[in-house]
Amino acid sequence: MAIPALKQDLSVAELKRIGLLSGLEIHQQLEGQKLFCHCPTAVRDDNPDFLVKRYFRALAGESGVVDAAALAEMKKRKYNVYQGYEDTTCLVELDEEPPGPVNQEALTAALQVAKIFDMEIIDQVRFMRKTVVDGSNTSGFQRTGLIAVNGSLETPSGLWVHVDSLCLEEDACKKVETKDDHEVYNLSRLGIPLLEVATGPDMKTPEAVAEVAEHIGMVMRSLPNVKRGLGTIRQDVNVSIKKGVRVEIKGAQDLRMVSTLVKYEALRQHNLLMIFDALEARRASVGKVVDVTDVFKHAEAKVIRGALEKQDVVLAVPLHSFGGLTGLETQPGRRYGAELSDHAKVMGVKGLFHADELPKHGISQAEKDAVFKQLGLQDEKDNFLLIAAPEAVARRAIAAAAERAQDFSLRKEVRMALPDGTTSYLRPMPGAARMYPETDVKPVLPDKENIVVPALLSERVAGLAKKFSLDTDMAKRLLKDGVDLDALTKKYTKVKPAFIVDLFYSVPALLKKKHNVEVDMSLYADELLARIDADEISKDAVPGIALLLASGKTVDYEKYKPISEKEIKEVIKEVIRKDPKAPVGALMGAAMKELGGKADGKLVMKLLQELTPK
Amino acid sequence: MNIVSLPINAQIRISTKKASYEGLLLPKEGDEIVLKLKSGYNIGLLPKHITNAKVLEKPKKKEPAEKHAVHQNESLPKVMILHTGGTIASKVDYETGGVVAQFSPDELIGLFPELQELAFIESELVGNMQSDDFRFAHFNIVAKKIFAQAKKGANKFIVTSGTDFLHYLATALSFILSDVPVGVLVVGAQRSSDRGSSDAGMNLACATQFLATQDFRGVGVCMHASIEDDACVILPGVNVRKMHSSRRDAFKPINKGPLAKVSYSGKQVTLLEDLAQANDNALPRSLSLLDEQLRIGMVWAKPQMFPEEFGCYDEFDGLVLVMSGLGHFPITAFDDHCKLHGVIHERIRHLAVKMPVVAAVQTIYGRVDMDVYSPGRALQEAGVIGNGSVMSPETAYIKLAWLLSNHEQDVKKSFLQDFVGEMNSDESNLYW
Repeated sequence: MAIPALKQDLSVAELKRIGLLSGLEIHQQLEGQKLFCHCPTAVRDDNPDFLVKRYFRALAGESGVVDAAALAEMKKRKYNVYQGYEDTTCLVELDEEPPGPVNQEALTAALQVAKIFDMEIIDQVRFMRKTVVDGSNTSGFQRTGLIAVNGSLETPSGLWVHVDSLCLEEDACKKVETKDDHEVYNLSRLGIPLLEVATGPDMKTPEAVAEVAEHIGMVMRSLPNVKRGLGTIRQDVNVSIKKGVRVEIKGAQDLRMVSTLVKYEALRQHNLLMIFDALEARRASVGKVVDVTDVFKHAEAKVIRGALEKQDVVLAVPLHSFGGLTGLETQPGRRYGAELSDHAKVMGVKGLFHADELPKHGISQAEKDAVFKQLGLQDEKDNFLLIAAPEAVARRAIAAAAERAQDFSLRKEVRMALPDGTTSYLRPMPGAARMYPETDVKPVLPDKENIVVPALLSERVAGLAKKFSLDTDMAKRLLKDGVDLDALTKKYTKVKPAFIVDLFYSVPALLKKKHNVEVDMSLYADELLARIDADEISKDAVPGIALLLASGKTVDYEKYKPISEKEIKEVIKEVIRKDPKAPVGALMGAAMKELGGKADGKLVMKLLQELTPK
Repeated sequence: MNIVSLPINAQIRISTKKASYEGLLLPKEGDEIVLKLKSGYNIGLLPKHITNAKVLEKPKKKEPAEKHAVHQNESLPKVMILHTGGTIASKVDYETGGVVAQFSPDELIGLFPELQELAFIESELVGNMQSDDFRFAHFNIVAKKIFAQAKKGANKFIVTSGTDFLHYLATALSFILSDVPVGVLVVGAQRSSDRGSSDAGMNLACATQFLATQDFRGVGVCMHASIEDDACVILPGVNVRKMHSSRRDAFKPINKGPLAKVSYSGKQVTLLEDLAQANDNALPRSLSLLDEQLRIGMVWAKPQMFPEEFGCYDEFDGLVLVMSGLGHFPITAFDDHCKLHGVIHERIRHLAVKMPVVAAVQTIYGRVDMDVYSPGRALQEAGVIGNGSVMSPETAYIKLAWLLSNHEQDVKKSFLQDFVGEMNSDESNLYW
């Protein structure tokens, strides 16, 4: 049996040859109030004040026919429990009151983004209900409105990409945990305004996707009211190759991961196509499920022994002419077997075994041989999948894996990003979204004429760096931390910009290093700068004062009053008199100690040099 | 560009200076052309921005959905569902985004599959209206439908209704059907059935479960007990009231407790009151319908009242005063500012001679007691009746209408007589 030679990596040239295309969908949370009520947008994980239990109805199919699957689903009687808070949850999130009018600040942010990306803003925005079945929205749908279409963006390196659509929508509940018969959701995230920017499938290299994602993120962060921090921006990527299909990947943890995800998905599609070609050539096929519990009567494998003690069964499905293929890696560390196993996992098992990986996990060669024998298969040429679980779950799970195994084609699907940049199967690609009008919200006529676009973060960084001769990283840091250097230098004209930067970064770093004290300088900066500006304290006294302030002590500013040049001279003369032979450095140290931070170091050095006998 | 002539439900392409949109043309609303894009989003476009429009595909004739007969279990008790309107039984047409009502048993079971496990469902469309348009004629129509089915042997009914005036419907049916031995539950939904979170299914399932397992005679209301999908309450059909504009548990009994609780997950019925004894040999006797021409007013006491507020009732058949506190009205000329109050007193006296004027309290909960303070005594002396009533204003209103329709000679004598439990109160078990 020939084993296809799969790729372990793809070069830029190879990616180009296989026709990689990728697009992005970026979701950015906004700060302030929720989209359709006045609740704050803080995402919480503290203990809830109350719980509300709800069942969701499977909605009737289009034809109104009794849907056996829907009924079966309802018979399972799974329900959802929502966690709420007295002070930050209202009847809108609980689906007990119709939504209020759309949040105008959120709408303004959307219009600003539309203008930045040169999009056509829709004359009249009509909010829709997008059906959501998993219970993450208490209403059973997500409210979403199409704000603008048909724009474009250009990255600093000159990449030009279509921006197809911009939507303003509600974020969903955060899932807290999954129990056997119910899911627990927290209501604090539900209804937070989200901007959703979707690009065209225009990116042809993984690096381009990362660059565009970074650029869109920068544009979002230029808005005054975006949320910052982990989980406030989510990037979904769409990936396809010429002979492949479109796959959507969710859950990219950060930007750095995006290019790896894209490359690995192209690799997965390319490698799977090679495996499918091999399966076709071998005329491979999948047989019927067989109960092989008896083979494992004396099993050593923990998983199987544990299962059999609970009266579970061991099922196997023969994979004719699949020998050697399930062990091949489609992505680094992810085998074709995992591709099949994912489908079984969705049905409620922890995983499955395939013959290529055995003997392992405590399953012996003898047991493997016995399964081959019972299924009428030949080792090397054939293969099998094996699942140990309660019978109903095991049958459902092995059927799902077998169904995937006998389909030798790529599928449009939604996949979940794993931390190493590989992905696992999540669900099939949803069909056209089931949307209908949100009749509780009046259509909105956006004011297209009076959109004030904020300066882009990139422009502000460059401007700040130039004006104050800072390096770009420091300029970024100041903007990120909200330190308005421009305003501070205008307010405290006698203080040099470089000292203000030191005050915010070097002084806290020094105190941390020397005294292991965390100082939030934004609390004290104004007071300190005002006193320096008024000549009430010297700059050298700042670390000492900040330390006192941070430890909650009262500061006797009189002690730090700068002394006159004449007084400094007196102190220096005294120091020199005591030890006239001492080197300048030692004299300086002694003088500064004597002055106790009341004099500026530079001035002391200058006077010292003047007064030291030449 | 003649946008107006474009056929509704056609696939069209509309171009503006900067973009072009393809989608289904929906009926125009206001100035905007409404388009359903392929992505599912609806958008509104102003005609002045449109540079070109083209029909890509003519409107498709809608194929009627294939009907699948549902095989119901004939050994289960029969429950007849009569639909009057509201969003309790509707389904979304995802192509256009419109909401369509569903009424046949098959369609109802399609929407609420669990019903077929609780009862043999029959159904009929009586109307499809919002409950705030109800007139007495509509109450009679529903009652006649029930009576006609009762004569054929049916005795378990669910009447679905919009929720705004659901309590008026329940009260009217309580009186009109007082001589007909059937069990009727009026059921509504506070969240429409097009959404996964709708309360319609649970309210209907609990009502069906209650009717199927209990020998209930009379009229009740079945709605959520709390905002959770935990249990429904069976409330008495009289003295029940919509007490919240939007919550699932908006309906509360006034001056009494619920009749029963039906848990949703375990389908358990817990009786909280003794139900009226069913007598299966009892034959439907007669309906006592409402006179559809009756005119009954309702006046709400408030500060700064004017005699003109009573100006239009001279030709009316009756009047309900929704009074302050224990049963008072601004009729005392306390100082110069209150001079008009004497005139109001006279107006009430004048009307009470011509027609029954009955008392209810705007506190909603509690008993009318016009013996305690002088305005109450003066109003009794003026001819206002109803001292001692525990009826909600709405129940007093419907009961007055029913008495005028069926016992016109005895209204004053009968108003405080108990007919269907409306004068029973359980003050120790106030449920509010």
